[in-house]
Amino acid sequence: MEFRQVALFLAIVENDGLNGAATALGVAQPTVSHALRSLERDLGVRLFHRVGRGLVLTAAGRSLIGPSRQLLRDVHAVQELLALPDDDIVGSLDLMVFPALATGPIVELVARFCEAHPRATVRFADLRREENATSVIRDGHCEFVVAHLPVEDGGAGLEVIELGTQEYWLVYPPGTELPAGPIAWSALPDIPMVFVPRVGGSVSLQIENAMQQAGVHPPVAVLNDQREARLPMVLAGVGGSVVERTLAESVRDVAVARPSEPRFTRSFGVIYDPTSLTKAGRAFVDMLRGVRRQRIEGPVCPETVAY
Amino acid sequence: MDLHLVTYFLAVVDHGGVTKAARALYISQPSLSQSIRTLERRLDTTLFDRVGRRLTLTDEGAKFELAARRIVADVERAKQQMSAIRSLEAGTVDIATFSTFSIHPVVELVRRFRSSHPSITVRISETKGPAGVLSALRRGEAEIGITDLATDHPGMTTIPLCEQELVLAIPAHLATDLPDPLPRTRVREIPLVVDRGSPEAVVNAGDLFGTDNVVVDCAHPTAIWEFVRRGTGGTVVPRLVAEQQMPDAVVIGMDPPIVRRVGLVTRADELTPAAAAFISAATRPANEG
Repeated sequence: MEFRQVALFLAIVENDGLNGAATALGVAQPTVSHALRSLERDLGVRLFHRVGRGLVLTAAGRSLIGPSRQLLRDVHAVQELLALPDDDIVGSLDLMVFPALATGPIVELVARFCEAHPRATVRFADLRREENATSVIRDGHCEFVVAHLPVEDGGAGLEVIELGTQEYWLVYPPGTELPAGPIAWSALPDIPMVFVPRVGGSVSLQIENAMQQAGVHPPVAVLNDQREARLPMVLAGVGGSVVERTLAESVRDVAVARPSEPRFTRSFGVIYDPTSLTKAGRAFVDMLRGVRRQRIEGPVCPETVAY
Repeated sequence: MDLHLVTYFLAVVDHGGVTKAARALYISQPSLSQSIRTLERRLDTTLFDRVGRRLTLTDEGAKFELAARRIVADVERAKQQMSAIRSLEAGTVDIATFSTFSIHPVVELVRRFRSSHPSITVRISETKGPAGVLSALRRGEAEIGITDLATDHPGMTTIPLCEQELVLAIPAHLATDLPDPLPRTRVREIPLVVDRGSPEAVVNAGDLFGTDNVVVDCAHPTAIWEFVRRGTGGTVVPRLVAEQQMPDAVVIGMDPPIVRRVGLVTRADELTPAAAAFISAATRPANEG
């Protein structure tokens, strides 16, 4: 098993097939397909089913993804150690982020990291299911997970740095007339809403329950998989929506943004395995700790946690 | 058990006898009696006690009456629902598209449709690129695709809508001295925040993304915009998204430009009323609303 074969294997997975992988890596398609065949021959298993002209991961292929990512990170780490002066970080920071948390604090922290280490790169990937928060780390799919706390299985052996609390606000189109103050989930105005199926995490479940118990069913204008379209739709006047607090506050001047009542909140943070950090990973952890220390030492208002 | 037997049974109950019920139903009395016997035989029970010329419900018959009234109400509700859908007073239109189009043109299309059909819900599914749109249409998961018309859509009906230009949105401090438009080959000089896994990134990868100029490979569109606003790197987005979401960024076209033809795709078979209404709202000239 060659590192290059492993890299090609991951490229096929990430780019949905031989063509995509070849384009992404800037090599010819037969090169990729040859490398895949020889990797399969070496391992003695099929990694992909050939379905028509496409490729579909086999069970064996799926279970190779995590270890492959871990392997490539470790290879990078060795290269870094050999090639570089101590304070130069070039590797890749590898995070999976739950969609509802992919805004505000974590983006700011990663942006800071990029600024501090201009030669490093970041993979800011999608954690679809929060219950996998710890297994994706243990299986090597990524180095850091950003998810709600506490983590599902207690996260034995893993470390957690809390970043803040997540909360949902209601936003309505510009010019919507609503009484001042927070809006109760049990008394949502009769304004059509733009919802995302399963907003995510236990907070949205609490919200759903509160609405259900009160028998509130605001009309649904749009049910949209594309989270990023929620605010643009609100601003275009399509309807109201439920969005993360940081997003709601960003449109306060143009749209009608209100906290909700009760304020269901849940903390979230970064989870990682302290025993297998790359150099880039260690630098990121040091930065998070520094930020937290500043917060604890500085004037802190417990109600408004920035991160 | 047929629906007409259930309605005949209720008619007999409501009119208090076969003779009056037959008259109300415009059928002959023997034929109605025959129908009631058929119903009893199918249910394997006796619904009426025949005492002289009067019919009274048995215990079984009384139980069946409750069930029968529920069935008739269900049928009525289903009919109303269908008629509401036919007349566009209710229903859902299912749309498949992918992230490049999530803001432009989807937001405007949905706004137009909802302003003329406020009782119909729009369901938008995210698919993996044009191929995903095509298979969602084939499997019947969506009725309308909003997609790139450069892809072949065999056996489907395509309706061109507009063109979309992909541009660079670059934080000001990274955009000094860049010409507009920028030769595609020079895009590799700019630190970028893009989703390498997205279909359009794969198509354009060889051209635009080198091995080390993608500083953040980011799967979350809102996070990409935030990274650009914070100055981490530039990104490649539709012009409208650049202008609306990253107003402080410098917007630069590419040379040659990346322009795609955006359109609607549907199966060639008959459309539901909601889907037909969506298409007519989408293709109406903008000034009509």
